[in-house]
Amino acid sequence: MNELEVRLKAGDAAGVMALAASRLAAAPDDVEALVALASLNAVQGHVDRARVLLSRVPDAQRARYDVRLLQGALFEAQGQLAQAELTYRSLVREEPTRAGAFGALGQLELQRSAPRAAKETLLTAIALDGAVGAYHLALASALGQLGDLEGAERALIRATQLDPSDLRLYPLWAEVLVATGRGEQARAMLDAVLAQVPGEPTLTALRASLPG
Amino acid sequence: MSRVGSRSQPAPTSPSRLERPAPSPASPATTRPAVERENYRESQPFGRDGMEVGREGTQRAREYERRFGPAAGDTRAGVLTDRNTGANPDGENRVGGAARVGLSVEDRRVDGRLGVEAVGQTSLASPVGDVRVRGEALVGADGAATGQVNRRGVDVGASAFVGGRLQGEVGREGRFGGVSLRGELSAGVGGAAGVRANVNNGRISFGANLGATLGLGARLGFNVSIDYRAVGQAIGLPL
Repeated sequence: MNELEVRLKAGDAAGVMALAASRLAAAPDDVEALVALASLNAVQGHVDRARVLLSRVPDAQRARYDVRLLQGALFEAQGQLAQAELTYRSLVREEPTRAGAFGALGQLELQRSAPRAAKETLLTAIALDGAVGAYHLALASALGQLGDLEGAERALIRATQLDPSDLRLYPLWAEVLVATGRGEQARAMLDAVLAQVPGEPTLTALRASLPG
Repeated sequence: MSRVGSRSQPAPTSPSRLERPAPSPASPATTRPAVERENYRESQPFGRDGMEVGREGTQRAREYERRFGPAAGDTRAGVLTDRNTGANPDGENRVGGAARVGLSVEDRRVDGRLGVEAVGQTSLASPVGDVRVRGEALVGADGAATGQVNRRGVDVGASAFVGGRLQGEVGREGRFGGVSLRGELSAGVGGAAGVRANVNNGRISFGANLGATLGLGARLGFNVSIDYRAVGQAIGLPL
């Protein structure tokens, strides 16, 4: 993992921007810097900027794993799911020891209401890289859909340990707690999260819907 | 090409969004394309009677954008309608529809999108509380063509996707608020809350999903920092 990827995974947006900018000033077609900056823009909702940055990657470097994974994610962000899936599947075939495309494919399968396939794909992603909270969250969602609430909760706990800042965790966790008869814990958990992100609209609405 | 609903079109702001403005002689509405004129009709959030046009405004419109991708280019238009049929005076009984077309030309690439969606929903009283039944049909088409001139000559590629989806949902009103169980969730829980239902609300946003696809830290998408220990303590988990 390069320094830019480390900063991306740590959520250090300012660090990514500073390092990528300095590297691009020295080498305008620095692929790692272009991919990192494009990823940052994409995550922050600037898909068009991400696409422009990605278009600056030299032709000879377009087959790189990180470039194609980001391209797949941008397809997905634009609703071009078939193209995204093709991209992920080709990456999975070509580099079956790297977790990224497995994780992306599993999350895409989940979107497509295929929890059984998603579960298998995400388990592979986690076996390859168990430190990505988003994979555990997606696995929890797949397990929940398959009726395995205990497994879903284990995956949620792991996801929360790895990346508690992922706000998508808590509605699902609350849902699992309520579904297993632990509404009180769901309320306590939401209260604890809302104490740290007061007023967060979705969690506030969810908390209000759980009386007590 | 007409720039229907393009970014250069100033978004109507409240309260004018909710009102039909008087026609202006300098910019007669009658010369605008039909879809664009709908921007000036009465517009209210989905869930009440009304119509929403374009990419601005309601959660429903954003949901639609999420499905068909962000409108990234020069020309696009969308129409969303939602009506209470009045067939069930004791509860909600609604039908809705949405259509969207989009075309963008950007960075040597042409994208076209077309989607049509129909939604029906009813709410019935029962001994265990209100029960909501909802059905949804979605058909979408998505095409892209890319052209590029490089040292080897001219590369032209094209691709297309056409798909459809039917989705059903049954839930108790109010139990989970905005979190509902849908599709295969009838056998369990998980999809709506974890990946779908909350992507359009507040900070729980599209960006975080994309970050998750790339396996990146959630702080990039949510711009928040949460201490796991406080959450774990709240529900008695070992830390």
